[in-house]
Amino acid sequence: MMKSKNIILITLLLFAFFINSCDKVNAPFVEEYDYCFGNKKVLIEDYTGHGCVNCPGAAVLAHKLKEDFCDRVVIIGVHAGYFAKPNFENNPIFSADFTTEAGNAWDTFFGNSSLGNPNGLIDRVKSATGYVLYPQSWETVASPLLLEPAQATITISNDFNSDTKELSTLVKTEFLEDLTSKYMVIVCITQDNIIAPQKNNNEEIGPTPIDSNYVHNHVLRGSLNGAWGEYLSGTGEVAMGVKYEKTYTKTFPVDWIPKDCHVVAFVYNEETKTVVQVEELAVLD
Amino acid sequence: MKKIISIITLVLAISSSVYAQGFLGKSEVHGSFEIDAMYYQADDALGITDSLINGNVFGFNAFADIIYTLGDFSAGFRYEAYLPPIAGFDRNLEGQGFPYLWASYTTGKFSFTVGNFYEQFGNGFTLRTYQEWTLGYDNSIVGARVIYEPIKGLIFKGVYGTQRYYWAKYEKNGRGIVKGFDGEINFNDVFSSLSNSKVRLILGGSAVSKYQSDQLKSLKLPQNVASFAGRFNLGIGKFNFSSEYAYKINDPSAVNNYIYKSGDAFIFSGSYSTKGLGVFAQFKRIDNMSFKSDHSVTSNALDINFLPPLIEAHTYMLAAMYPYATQPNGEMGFQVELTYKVPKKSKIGGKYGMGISLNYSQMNDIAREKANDTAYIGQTGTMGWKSDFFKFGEQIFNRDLTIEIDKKFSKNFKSIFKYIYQDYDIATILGHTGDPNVKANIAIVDMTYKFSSTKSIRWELQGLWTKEDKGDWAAVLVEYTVSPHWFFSVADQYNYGNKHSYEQIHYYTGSFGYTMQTTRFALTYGRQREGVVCVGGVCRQVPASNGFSVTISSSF
Repeated sequence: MMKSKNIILITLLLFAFFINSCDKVNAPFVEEYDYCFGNKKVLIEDYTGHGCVNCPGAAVLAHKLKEDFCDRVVIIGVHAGYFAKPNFENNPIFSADFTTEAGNAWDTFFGNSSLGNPNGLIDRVKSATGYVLYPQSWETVASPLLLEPAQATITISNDFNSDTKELSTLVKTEFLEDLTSKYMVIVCITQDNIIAPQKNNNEEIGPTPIDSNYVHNHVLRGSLNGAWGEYLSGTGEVAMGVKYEKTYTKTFPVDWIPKDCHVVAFVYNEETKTVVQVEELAVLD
Repeated sequence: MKKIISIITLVLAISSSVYAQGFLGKSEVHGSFEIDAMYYQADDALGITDSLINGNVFGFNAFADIIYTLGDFSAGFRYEAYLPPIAGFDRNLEGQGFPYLWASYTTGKFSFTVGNFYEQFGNGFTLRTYQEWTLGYDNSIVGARVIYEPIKGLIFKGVYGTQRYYWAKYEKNGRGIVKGFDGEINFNDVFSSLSNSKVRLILGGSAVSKYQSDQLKSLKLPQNVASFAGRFNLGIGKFNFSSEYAYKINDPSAVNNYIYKSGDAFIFSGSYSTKGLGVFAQFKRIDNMSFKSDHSVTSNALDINFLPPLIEAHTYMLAAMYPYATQPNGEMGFQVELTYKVPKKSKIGGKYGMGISLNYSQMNDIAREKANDTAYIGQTGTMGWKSDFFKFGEQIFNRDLTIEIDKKFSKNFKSIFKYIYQDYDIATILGHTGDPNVKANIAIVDMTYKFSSTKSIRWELQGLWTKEDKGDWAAVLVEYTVSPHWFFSVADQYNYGNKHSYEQIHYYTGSFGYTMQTTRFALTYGRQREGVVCVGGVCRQVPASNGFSVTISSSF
């Protein structure tokens, strides 16, 4: 009889323990935080494709994070992989080819499209399962990065000749602390306001299943210094307080509309691939 | 890695020691191995070019499971390799190592396990960890488990640990910690006066909680989320009834779009069986019951619980073309099944009798209403929705009617005839947004003829007719078996009804296999259909492929 009592008592205690292991959250559920303080910016690479039905939702999320984080986010829309194929699923409506050599190289290295779109990279931070992060994790990974002080600053100066369609861009990088690894810079062009069909499953974003007049923003158009960029210094090693300057020129093809284009520059650790700082500036700024 | 080698060495050392001490009779080692490898080829008809394969001409999945037992002690490990994973498997699996290591000891009424283990409470509404090699799925818990059985028929289980997430190590502020408790009493075993009773009763209850630190800045997340369930199984003569209800408190996650409503799940099953006749009926309702140990994960990983599907599981090629997947954010449906064995020597049953079975299942969305006037249904940071427990949603996710007749015509010849009607919401389940429900009629004839006690031939004729998706299909399979060693088979699935003539493709395969005792070798050459699999809003292309595949499996 005593034994039965003990068993009942232990069982009740265990259930009480689990009932205690509940956090009932009361409204309001949304927390406010001021992200307008700080000098670190975060790079969101949104790996996407015009055949990917869930990708417009990810693009909206990236844009929302840019707003929520007080414009301290730079977005690159990387079209790569199965869902970015021209004439996707033999449908000529998807004739556009937004893939780029740099985007394909990154996609192959980081393995984005092979894991299914949409997904992305946040400052190319490597988590326990790799670099690729699904949209639901973007905010979780990005927000603590924005609370850290920047390790470097990037300043971009653009000069665009509207007659020759040639862009000359000067990228200055200065490290705010001494870092031991080797650092590289990638400079690329993104373009907004490209109207082209996109598969979509979210009626709040646009027509489904195909939005024929979808506005593609932050589309990666290409890199000005290769998929992996170049060393900031001759050896790649950097020192605090030194300004590293790089100048690039590019003659724009006809479908790169200067008023819609941005120069995006980001500096990363060659070994870990982690981006330490990113900056963007409109081509006609 | 050194730790793993040390454990293996220790196990082997114990084994050697046991040999040396003459305890061989008490010591046993069991194991199983499997290697699945695929070599890919370019195929113009499928649109597979050399550049698309891009050097990835080989896929390789392999495992070895070793279990050592010595009296009440047992230990084991599993080695796995995905180098790289075969097409269609999650690329996060790429790698190799020992993801499953465990040791267990039973003393008296207690049993202890440390390391990895699989466990299930009831139907799995609160907890189920399992491994499915063919899907590349494993959500085992690594931690500790205690099982206490004070008397026969009364059992308590406690589990504590973290879950396997591909090859990722557990890190602070990473995925959550799972703790669970389950108790079950079998009245017929506990009370001797009921041991011969026609009424059989089992009651059970479980509680499972996860802890994950709140790293999300924009929302207030609960760090501790618990779920509770109660269940019974009642048998009265030829009738059997079972049911389980589970409740989970607010668990905002990427799967439910970070809403704060509680979740629940309910299942009720009833059956009656007598000689030659069986009747089975089931009802299920799920509302916001995804339960993962990481709120940000939407892929097929880190599931703490399991929401059992409620539908006829099809294995024939064309019948399995449109597979249903449980919708964890909400679904409601039922299944009824009738099986009848027409007696031997009756007018219809003939000399050998005849089996008839009928199965109908339907799964709808749950009915949802706005949680308040200012938020849309499912909006992040709100209560999500309100739902009437007894009201079906209008959207049909899946309907399936299956009629099967199996008939033995003579000593050497038997056959199975099957008709299936499917109504499948391809937009929701596979993410083919905008596509209408696929309404398909499927007919299957499966015939087996035995030439002798060791030689037989089996052939299948299948047809799938639909106006939606890829249109009509026909399939044929011929399999010749020489027991107990050899089998040879050829099969073809032909998409003759595709509206695009260039997609009217034959997906042919040829294979043979050899079995020697517990070792099996099989070689297959042929094409695999392309598909897109969507899980939690993320879609993965399972590419069409062509090439050789080899499977070698063995056990001892």
